Amino acid sequence: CAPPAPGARAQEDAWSGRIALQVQAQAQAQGEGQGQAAQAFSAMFELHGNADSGGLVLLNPLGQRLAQLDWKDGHAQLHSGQETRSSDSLDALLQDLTGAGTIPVAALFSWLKGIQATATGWQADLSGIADGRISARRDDPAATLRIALTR
Amino acid sequence: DGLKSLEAFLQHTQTGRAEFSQSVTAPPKDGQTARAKLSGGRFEFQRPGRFKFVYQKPFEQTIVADGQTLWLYDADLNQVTRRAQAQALGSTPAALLASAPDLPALQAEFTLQALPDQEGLQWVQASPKNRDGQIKSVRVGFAGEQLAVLDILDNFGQRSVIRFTGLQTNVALPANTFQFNPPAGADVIAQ
Repeated sequence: CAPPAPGARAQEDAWSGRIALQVQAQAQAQGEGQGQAAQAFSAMFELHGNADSGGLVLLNPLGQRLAQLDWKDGHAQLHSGQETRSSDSLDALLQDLTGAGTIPVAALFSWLKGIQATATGWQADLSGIADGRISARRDDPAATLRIALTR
Repeated sequence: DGLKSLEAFLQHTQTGRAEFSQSVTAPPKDGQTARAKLSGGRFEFQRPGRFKFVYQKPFEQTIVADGQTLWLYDADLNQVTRRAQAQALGSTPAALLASAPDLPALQAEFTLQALPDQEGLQWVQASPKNRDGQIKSVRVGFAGEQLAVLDILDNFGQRSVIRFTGLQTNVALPANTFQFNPPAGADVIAQ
């Protein structure tokens, strides 16, 4: 999309589509607590803003909001069902939100613009970005993150 | 009134199919009303317990309730999510349509209240008794006994209006209409 005209209020970056996170089962590491079962999370989403200040809304296919996560200046709030939780750790609330693990939000904002960005442990494949497809893999613990943007 | 239409619908309608259009509007944010997000496709149901939404636009997605399992297939992600139907439906609008065999069964899950006629339709409002779901209330619109509109308000103030057109009821549906077989190569995730 064309860069915003100088002086115009920068059109806030926003994306919507579907997101799926799969974390593979892990065998129990030598004596380190019990292993982890495979976990999966997928939903429709709307994302706006940037890594410092933005929001992520999750929806079910019929259009109801499942949860809303907002963050700004190092503080994050998760609204879901009847309760609201706040934390200084966006990762902690993402873990609660997906129930399957955290999502590399900072890197995600770059990936969505088709810009490679590093996120510890994640490798992103942006070859499908023209069709609104992103997939990223993490090795330890093994996970795949897939996104299909709705045009 | 709306309550009589709902009762007649539950009693007389065993199967049905229709086209549907869905318009989802987010709650107004700092004074501006959000742009509606439109989608649509085909809807089929067989009471009690089976229904199928096939979204064709803006993207391909299929939701099938086969009586035991709720399947969600996302073609772009090539992924199938399966959930036990009982847990997934609880107090959602789909339960209203397909699962409840009769009015009393529905009244176990929803508080029902007839509303005045509007847009030439008879309306009933259903508010889920289980408060921690996503739904605040659902207004169901009927043209006589024929289901016409589902107007769903969620706890965030997001509104989703589903309009059914060309509804045919009590038609014979092929046996495998509500059978879902995950496409070869698709990831199948139990949730």
